[in-house]
Amino acid sequence: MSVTTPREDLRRHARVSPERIACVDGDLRVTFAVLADAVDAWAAELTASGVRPGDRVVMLLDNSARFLGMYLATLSLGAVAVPLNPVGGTAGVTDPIRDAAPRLIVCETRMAAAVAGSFGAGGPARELAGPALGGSVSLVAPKPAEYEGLDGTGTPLAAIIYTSGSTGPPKGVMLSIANMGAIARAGCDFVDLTPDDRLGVVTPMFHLYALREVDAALRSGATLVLPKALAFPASVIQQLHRERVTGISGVPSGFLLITEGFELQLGSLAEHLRYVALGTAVAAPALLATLRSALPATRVLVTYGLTELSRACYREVTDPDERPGSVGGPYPGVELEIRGHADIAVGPAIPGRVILRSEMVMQGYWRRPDLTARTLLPDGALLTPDIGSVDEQGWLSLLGRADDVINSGGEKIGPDEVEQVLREHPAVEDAAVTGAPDPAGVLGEVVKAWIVRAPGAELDAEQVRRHCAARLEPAKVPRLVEFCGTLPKTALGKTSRALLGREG
Amino acid sequence: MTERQLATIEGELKEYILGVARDHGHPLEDLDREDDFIEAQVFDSLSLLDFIMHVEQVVGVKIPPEDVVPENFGSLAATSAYLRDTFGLT
Repeated sequence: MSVTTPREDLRRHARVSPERIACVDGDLRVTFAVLADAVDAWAAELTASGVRPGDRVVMLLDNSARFLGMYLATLSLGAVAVPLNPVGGTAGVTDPIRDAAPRLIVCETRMAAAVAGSFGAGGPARELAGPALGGSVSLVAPKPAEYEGLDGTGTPLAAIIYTSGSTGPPKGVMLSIANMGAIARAGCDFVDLTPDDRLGVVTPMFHLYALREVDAALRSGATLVLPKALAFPASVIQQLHRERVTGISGVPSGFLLITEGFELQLGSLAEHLRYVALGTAVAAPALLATLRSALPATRVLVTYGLTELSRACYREVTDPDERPGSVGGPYPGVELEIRGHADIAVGPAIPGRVILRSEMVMQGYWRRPDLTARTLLPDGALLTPDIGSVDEQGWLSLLGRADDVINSGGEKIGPDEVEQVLREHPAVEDAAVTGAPDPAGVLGEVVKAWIVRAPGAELDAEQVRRHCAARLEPAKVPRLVEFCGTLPKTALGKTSRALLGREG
Repeated sequence: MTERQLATIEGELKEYILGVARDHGHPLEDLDREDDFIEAQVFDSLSLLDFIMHVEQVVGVKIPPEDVVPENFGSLAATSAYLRDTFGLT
């Protein structure tokens, strides 16, 4: 099957069904024709701002038609979209922006002054002219970075998505145009998307988990429904109900908040909702059972993937559920292997590292050839950080991770990055970071900081959190802080997170 | 509930929200009664729930989940109006 680019898909829909709705953004309804015109106009603006094929364009945009238009304008130029978190100020995105070395930063106008101040080359931010698509977007020309020699793999890239690893700063996952096309195709096929579908996007679009919905919707001609005020579950459900959404992909913690307080409202979606998909973290059997009973005619699907290979496995949750712990079998075209000790493939029921092969596997980590070489095997297979086993039918169960990355409500958080920020505080002599169960029972794990105060120094938990909040994205700020006399060390003098206990 | 309670409560909630914004690393210089919490990016879904629980504690009421919508809790003014209309605070 051919791979079309999102821009080609958009042009086709604008030609064949110009008045169909491409995107619902709060009260704004954007047709394919209007979207295509906006994308052309914005692509011209980007070109005028110096954006050339292969250049990175950082996007600090809310879930919105603006995001959609700017993403497509960037791709249409052969430039590389680098979507980052627009919430929580500029501190949390400093490392990725420096690493990406963008030609241009596109941001919500509300944050334009701060972005220009932190990253700009000196000139003010410029508000984008042309079609507004429901809000104001500003352009910031960043300080010239080392542009040259950063063309990556030689394969045309569509996006670089930043994700946390267990060590070092966030790493940029390079996804080619072909990768994104294959991900979109898998996303369409596994739920048979049609132009009559309306997909509710309830997670941030700077994550691949939601961004891939954009490509899938464009490929199939479905409508994207982007609710406003994602923090208000009742309001989100109202908007999804009003727009008669037929599919929702979300994270278990989000569905948990909804089923705990809004089960009746959730039931109001049942008439039109064909499927719900849960991914990015393991969904508890009780949550799946609640969804099954609240939405008896809706397909409930569990998905497994990584930013490095977005659609690895999935399964349909049946009633009664036969294999509650499983994330299912591979998507078509994905090859799943479990490797035990000595790198030898093992058979059913034996745990080992999860290895995946697919045309969806990333091109590597941006500017991190060593890390890429450790993650992509010589035959192109992806060595995931996940430990799992397969059953006789080839279905995968996840048993844990081979690294220390914390999964907090689907957000992956590398402890090194948080520890480094903690150690920058003058009252901190030593610090370690682990995952601990969320006391509220929603996020699965939360970030826990273990702190040894400097002699004579005073420091309380709130000061620790404020220090982190000023330097990290909100999800990375420790929700739990414990002060201790020493931190357990390994024989080599390295702090042992395992001895601190992930049970916290 | 005493006569002066709603104004006092609103002042207290304002301090609470400024604290949340500070903890989230994007301190607000001030917050007007009409400022839109969503526009100001004050809450994510968890800190919103914390806020609602805080309101319940301060006011001594139980807020039905279906009432937690931007029309009722999208700004300080909206929150006060909701507390006035629903729980008779003055």
